[in-house]
Amino acid sequence: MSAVADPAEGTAGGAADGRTDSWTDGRTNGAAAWRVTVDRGACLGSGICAALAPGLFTLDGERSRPLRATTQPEEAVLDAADSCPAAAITVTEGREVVGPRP
Amino acid sequence: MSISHDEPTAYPFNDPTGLALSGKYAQARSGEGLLRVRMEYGEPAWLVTRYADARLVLGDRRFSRAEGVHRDEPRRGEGPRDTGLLSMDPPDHTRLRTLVTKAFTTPRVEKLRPDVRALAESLVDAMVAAGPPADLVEDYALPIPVAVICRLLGVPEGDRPRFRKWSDAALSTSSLTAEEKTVNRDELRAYMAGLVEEHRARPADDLMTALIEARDVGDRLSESELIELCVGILVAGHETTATQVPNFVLTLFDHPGEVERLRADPALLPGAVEELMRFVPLGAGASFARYALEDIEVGGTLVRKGDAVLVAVGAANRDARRFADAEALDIGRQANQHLGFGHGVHHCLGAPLARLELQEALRALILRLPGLRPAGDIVWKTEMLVRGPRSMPVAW
Repeated sequence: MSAVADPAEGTAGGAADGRTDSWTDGRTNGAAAWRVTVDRGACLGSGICAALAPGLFTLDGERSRPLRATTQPEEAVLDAADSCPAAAITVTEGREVVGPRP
Repeated sequence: MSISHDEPTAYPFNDPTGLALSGKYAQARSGEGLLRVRMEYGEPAWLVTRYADARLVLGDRRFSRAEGVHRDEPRRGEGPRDTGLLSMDPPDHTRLRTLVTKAFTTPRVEKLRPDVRALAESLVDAMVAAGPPADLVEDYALPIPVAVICRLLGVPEGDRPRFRKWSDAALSTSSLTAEEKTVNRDELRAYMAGLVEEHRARPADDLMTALIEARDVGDRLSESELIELCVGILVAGHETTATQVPNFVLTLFDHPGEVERLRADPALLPGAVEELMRFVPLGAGASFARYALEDIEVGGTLVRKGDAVLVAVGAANRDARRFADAEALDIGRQANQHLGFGHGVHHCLGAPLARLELQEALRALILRLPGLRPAGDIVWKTEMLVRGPRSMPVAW
């Protein structure tokens, strides 16, 4: 079983490196999509996000990763970001950080 | 499979004195399906002992804690337990927990490290100044997490003797009658309600003040939830860490080679704490049963909707399917995703703080007192949810 933490940010979709602007304004059905990243180096593998939002996060090698790089705005994503003990989940809309909430 | 027709096995398995993992767990882990067990009180339950099964049950919301409130939960003590956040499911659980999560995240607690290190070193200084023997529990293991959680929450440290008694009662399993437990619980709540009123009158830079604001300004929780949350943070915020410090020291006494490795390379400390979390079965047995909200297969057993499931994390942490050489203590172990802090939505709220306190508590002892050794008989807590020394004489 390989569970070594990947120091790089894990982002679903492979192409995103966390700095590519073209990814941050991905839109679906006209609504602004949220971009979700998990810092796999910081992730403790608590399993909280995958339990709270199983459609959005999965545990891969015992560390979390988002199932999709972008998602429609929904409370469950923010709940997961707010609940992360490692503060490893970041949710952004465009350039604005929407989760974790202050 | 005829397991469910057999008479349930008596549970818990572990001897309350000492830190050994009962051999019955190895049997259960290698057996077919899940074992049916019965505790002194409450209904029978399925016992999960394998790592993968434990992660499934703890990490899947089809298993509920809140359901237990309406059920005859498996338990050791007579009265029902009131466990706050641990008796709730999302979304209520999420609403309350996210009010306090930020105070305990890794980046936030890391800022406390210099203070915790200085505190641990000052306690070692005091022990050295007083001369051996010292009681590792009273003189060292308790003062560290108590001081930290008191400052963080906004509780006067000088009240420790008072809330120690209530906290002991809150985590006791059978030594007190249901009435005695109720009296203690009411006293602790009244004490906390008083502190909340003081903080309302004189806000401070602490978690209690932040929670009062979340109630009074944000209307995000009720007054009783506010008080219950503060009580939970105070009790859970010190008892387990205070218990694991002597448990870890005792375990290291049995592994002098690992202590030498640590002393030679203190950078191994964070990994050592993870390995000790994996290796030391803190509980006398599994508790806080999960209830299946639908039929789910777990480890070869069809768990029916409404069935109770107990997860023995101490056994899962020694599952050879997940951990190579699982019965050995190896402070250099890699990819050590143990379940010592739980898993899923109820994963220990204070885990980052506990890690930091355990690292710093061990660091000061190992670096400053190389000759640390037992100096008398240990008195064990015997009727608590957690196992560990009530007092532990040491010399150096």
